[in-house]
Amino acid sequence: MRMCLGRRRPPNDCDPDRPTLGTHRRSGTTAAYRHQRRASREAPIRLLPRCMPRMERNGRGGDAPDAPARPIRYATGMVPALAIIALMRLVPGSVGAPPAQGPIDFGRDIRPILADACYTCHGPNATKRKARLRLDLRDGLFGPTRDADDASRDPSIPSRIVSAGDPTASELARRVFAPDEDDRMPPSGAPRALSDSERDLLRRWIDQGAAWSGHWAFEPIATPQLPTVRDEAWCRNEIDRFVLAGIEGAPVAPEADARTLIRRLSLDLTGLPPAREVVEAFLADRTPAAYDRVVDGLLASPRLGEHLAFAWLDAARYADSNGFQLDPDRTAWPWRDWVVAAFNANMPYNRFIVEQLAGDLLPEATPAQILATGFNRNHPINGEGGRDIEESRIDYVMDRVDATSTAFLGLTVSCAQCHDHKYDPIPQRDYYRLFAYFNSIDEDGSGDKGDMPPLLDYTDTAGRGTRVMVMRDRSRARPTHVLTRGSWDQPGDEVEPGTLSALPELRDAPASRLGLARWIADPSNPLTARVAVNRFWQQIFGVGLVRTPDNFGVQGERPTHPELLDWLARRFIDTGWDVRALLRLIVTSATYRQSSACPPDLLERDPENRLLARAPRYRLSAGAIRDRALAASGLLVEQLGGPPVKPYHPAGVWEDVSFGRLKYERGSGTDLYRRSLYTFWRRTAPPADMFDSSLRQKCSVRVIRTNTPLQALVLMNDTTYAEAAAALAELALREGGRDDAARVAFAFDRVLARPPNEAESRTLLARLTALRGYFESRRDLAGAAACAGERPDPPEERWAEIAAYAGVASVILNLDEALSRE
Amino acid sequence: MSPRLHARLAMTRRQFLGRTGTGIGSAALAMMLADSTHARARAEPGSPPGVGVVAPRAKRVIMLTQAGAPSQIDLFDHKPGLAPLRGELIPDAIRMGQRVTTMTSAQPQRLLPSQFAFAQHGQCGAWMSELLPHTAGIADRLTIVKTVHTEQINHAPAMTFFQTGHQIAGRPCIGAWTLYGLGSENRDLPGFVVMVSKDVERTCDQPLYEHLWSAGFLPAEHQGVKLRAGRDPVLYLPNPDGVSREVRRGQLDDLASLNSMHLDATNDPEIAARIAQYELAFRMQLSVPELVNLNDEPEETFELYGAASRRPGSYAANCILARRLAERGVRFIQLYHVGWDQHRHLPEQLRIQCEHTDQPSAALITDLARRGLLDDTLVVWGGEFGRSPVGQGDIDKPDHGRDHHPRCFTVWMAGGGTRPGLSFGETDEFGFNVARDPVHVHDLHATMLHLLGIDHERFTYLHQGRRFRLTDVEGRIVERLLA
Repeated sequence: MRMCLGRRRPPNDCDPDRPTLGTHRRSGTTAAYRHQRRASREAPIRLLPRCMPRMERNGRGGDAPDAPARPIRYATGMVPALAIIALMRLVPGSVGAPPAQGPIDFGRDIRPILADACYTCHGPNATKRKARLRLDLRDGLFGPTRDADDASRDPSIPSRIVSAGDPTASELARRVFAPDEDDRMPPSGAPRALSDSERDLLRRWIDQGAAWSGHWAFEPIATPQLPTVRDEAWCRNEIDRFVLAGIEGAPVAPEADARTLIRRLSLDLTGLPPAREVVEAFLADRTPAAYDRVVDGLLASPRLGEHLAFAWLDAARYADSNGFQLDPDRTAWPWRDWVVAAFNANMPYNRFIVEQLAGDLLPEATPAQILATGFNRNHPINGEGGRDIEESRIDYVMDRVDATSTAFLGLTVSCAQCHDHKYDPIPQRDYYRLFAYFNSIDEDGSGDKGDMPPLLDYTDTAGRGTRVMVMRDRSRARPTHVLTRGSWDQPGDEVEPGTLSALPELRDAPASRLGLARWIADPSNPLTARVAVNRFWQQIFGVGLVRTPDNFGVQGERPTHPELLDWLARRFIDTGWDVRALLRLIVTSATYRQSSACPPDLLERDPENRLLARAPRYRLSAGAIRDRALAASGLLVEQLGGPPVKPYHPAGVWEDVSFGRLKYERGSGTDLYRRSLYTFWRRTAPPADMFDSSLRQKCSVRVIRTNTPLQALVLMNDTTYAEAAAALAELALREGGRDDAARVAFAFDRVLARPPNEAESRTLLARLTALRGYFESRRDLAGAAACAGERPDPPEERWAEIAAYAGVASVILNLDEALSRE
Repeated sequence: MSPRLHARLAMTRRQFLGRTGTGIGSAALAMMLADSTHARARAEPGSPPGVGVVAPRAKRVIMLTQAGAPSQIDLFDHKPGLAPLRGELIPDAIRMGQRVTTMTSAQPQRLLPSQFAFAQHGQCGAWMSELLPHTAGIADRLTIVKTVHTEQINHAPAMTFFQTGHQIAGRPCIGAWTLYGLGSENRDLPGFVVMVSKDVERTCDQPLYEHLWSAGFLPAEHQGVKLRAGRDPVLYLPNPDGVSREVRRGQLDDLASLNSMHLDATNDPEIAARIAQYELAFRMQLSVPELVNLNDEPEETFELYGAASRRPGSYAANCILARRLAERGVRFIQLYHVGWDQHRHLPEQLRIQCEHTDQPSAALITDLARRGLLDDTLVVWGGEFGRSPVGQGDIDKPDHGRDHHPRCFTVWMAGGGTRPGLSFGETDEFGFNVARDPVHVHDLHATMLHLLGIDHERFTYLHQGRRFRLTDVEGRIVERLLA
């Protein structure tokens, strides 16, 4: 029924939830559809619109699925223990489940049900709306039914959708409980059915007075009162009061030991393990201020900026090449260095936003401010032969809308590219009003050279002159049209630039990117500070207070600690968007300083650690794992910025994707040992060792953390790690002490910032003895293991000893603890 | 901790800690892994929605993707009526504003009948050209669909569409969806394997991108693992120089024992998973080389698949590997052969591509059938779109070719519950539009999932608040293609 051979199908009508039959079957138009459908089988069917609603379920019954409301996600791997954990998350009564008793909160308990099950037909999307009913708006939810004024209607049927306090007078309750399939909502056949407990919640909510509130993320940021807590003594700062209030009397975890804490701090703030001297100094200083001194030292380290920048590169879909067919190299690294410098200078976050979106439009813009706008030139460029250049140009504009709205606003604005947003109050028109801000860049979509205009001649702090892609508007603005169903060649109504209509307007803002940037960075924007604070929280705690950092809309997750999020956002704004102060506040809290060990009963009660009654424990990113190995083995070259480097990489990967056209020419010397941030990022073949990284095709702010055999192969077999093991072995032999036990402990401490316990020491020493014997008899193998990588070969007489130690070092580097932030 | 999890971890720990110095408690890990890769054939707790709700006909898929777009009008879609119209402009009523690429948009759109001889083959009488003698030999096993159509006219978006149901990169591909839905049957190999071969002449290449076998927003373990030709079939598979398998075994024993101590201290089940994944990696170091080592194949195999099958990385060699993967229960086997983009030199280049692919494709079907594997293996052959019945360049010179054509192209399927000996769908007399029984790419996907026992409408994954499907909001099962 959706054949349209004479026309291209519009890019997407992303409506998988579209109800297929249900009560609508009896509507008068159905017969007409059926007629067309039959006719279409017999004749060439070129003229029918492709996206007409499908009226049959392919001959099968339209029974409602009994599947759980949300698919189970195997977030972390495919091993059964995890599947069980995943199942446990669905068990009622665990943290986050709706209350079986007690007061019902509209935003927490009711709106998610309405959004998920009803908004598709009774929500923001005007074209898909049925019965002219909007349940996403207060007026619709509490308004009259469609035929309320019809004198001939059945008086036993309620005339209001929701009548507060009276379920029997509420059409909503009648419909969801209707025994007759034709009356029941959602209709049979809809992919999302209601469970009994959800129906009961709706009824109880009405019964309790049907209190309503707007979607939390679109409401102004509150200034929450600090909760009073019983255990004042535990609290180190305001964060802890909010966390403690959420735990409601259950125990918190004890403070982690000093070594765990300093390693955690160092990994969280700089992405590197702590230097041994720092650990020693911290352990020696038992005054209360010692912790704060360590924090201040780490916050002042240039490694901080590199670490924060790495995460931002995923959001900014940074790459050193264009992607697609020819994938030519581009000069994006000066922009990357701008990001590092901005974090290291503790640039206020509102300026960080404005300069990246519209630095070129600031009065008397400096070269650095213009450079910052490279943020929105980081998109892929498609120069495929035969492609329409306007189609390409529009792709780039759409990418900017997507990156800007995801990274700064945490909204899925791109869902409104083809039609009104189905869940959030973002009409399609709003999408194109945002689009208009980015539509007048001085570009035409043609070409596939590495660096396409507009370009900036830029000289970096090291005196290197380069040309970098930046934003610059044409002298005359391009008119912007709503694109019908998102199709680049089907312009509809013309629109002017404008910000999202559901959010507060910023008066006196110019109708330019600068106006958009100021609107985003304004304290009155309810999203920006929350989204930012959440992302920094995610950077430290592994997951955000909102666990969908890319979706603060109604289908995203609600914050685990809504008041804490608002309090932090408010504080962030009040301190002048001070990123470093925010990080300091987080890492000096008692919440942060807890142990990550988890008693079994707590794991049962709160498997996802939503209460924060323990510290999170998670695997480091692939880049951080590599950096940590380089640092522990003494190979790391701490050099800030500059052109990307090409460290070890499996042979043939670039050649494979480009049919031999692109050759990976491995670097040498210090290029092999730079932080992963500086590794050349080819968009068609990202660094093969960077598992779970964003593909850098589009903006990505979500952390992916899987557990696969391919990761084990990288971490045990990549030359980077073989060399790090050998270098760590040499270091231990040189500086680790007089006997095996001391040297093994030294290597262990370099990686884990703690000495091994007795059992660990015994296991590793036994391995060392076995390997020593083995390599003494296999000197051929010993040479290869001891001389791994490009570093200078050790003398031959030491090969067996180094190889044996390297074998032990490899075990240490691959310990789960060594890969994790404890 | 749930009692079941607790019991399992406790047992695992006991076995680790109680080991006596010779190797790890591998029985415990074997149990964990066997369970984890347990195939989901029927709806059961933990299987995604829509899986196992219809009886599966196929257990696995082999996709023989011919990247660059083979010319259906020169291979399958016989149009004798076109011959007298050679060189004439295509009527507007037929073209109906169809976009072409900017490579030919400025030139006259002249009709170009195929220069190759067509004949009917098999009991079913399927039409094929002289370029496909081996495929012609298995005509009675094939379901030939001549009316597949797509939205996209450029390679990258069209291939992305064919693999993911959407033209912009970022969604999961059909292989990832399938593995996500059905799980893996082999505990020593990845469940979704990708192999790429290329045109030897390298004149008609279109690049392939990693995102074509990406898991998109599905958990990353469902992404395709690319098998490379040559020494390292999987990246990072061999131990580094100087580390023997014996040494590695000892290291893994230590890792398991030290990690399980840490598991005791932290109770983080992720650590148990880590131990298991390191063990799977260790097994893959044997199973993958064993898989790709064709020395144990009899001479007769190479004769069946053709001489090129002795050359690692060739399409023919990959077809043998596809059969070996199918034998080992790998769920989704994705071959790409690159080299069909014949804008120029079509008469010569098309013949070369067919010589490289015709015999191995047919051999794979024959081989699967005689081993009893074809019944539950669905094989799908086709490109991302087709080529136009209109010529590109000077059609009177040998360097002419054909531009892209999205409105109709040919895909064939075999095995896995498809109806053998069927030619399905008709195009108009120009071979330009579908005249009867169109099959959209979404329909093809819906039908493939159906054969795997998956309801494509219910098989959704919640991402950013929206339930995504492979078939987006479209797709209908083409019942007449089913046996």
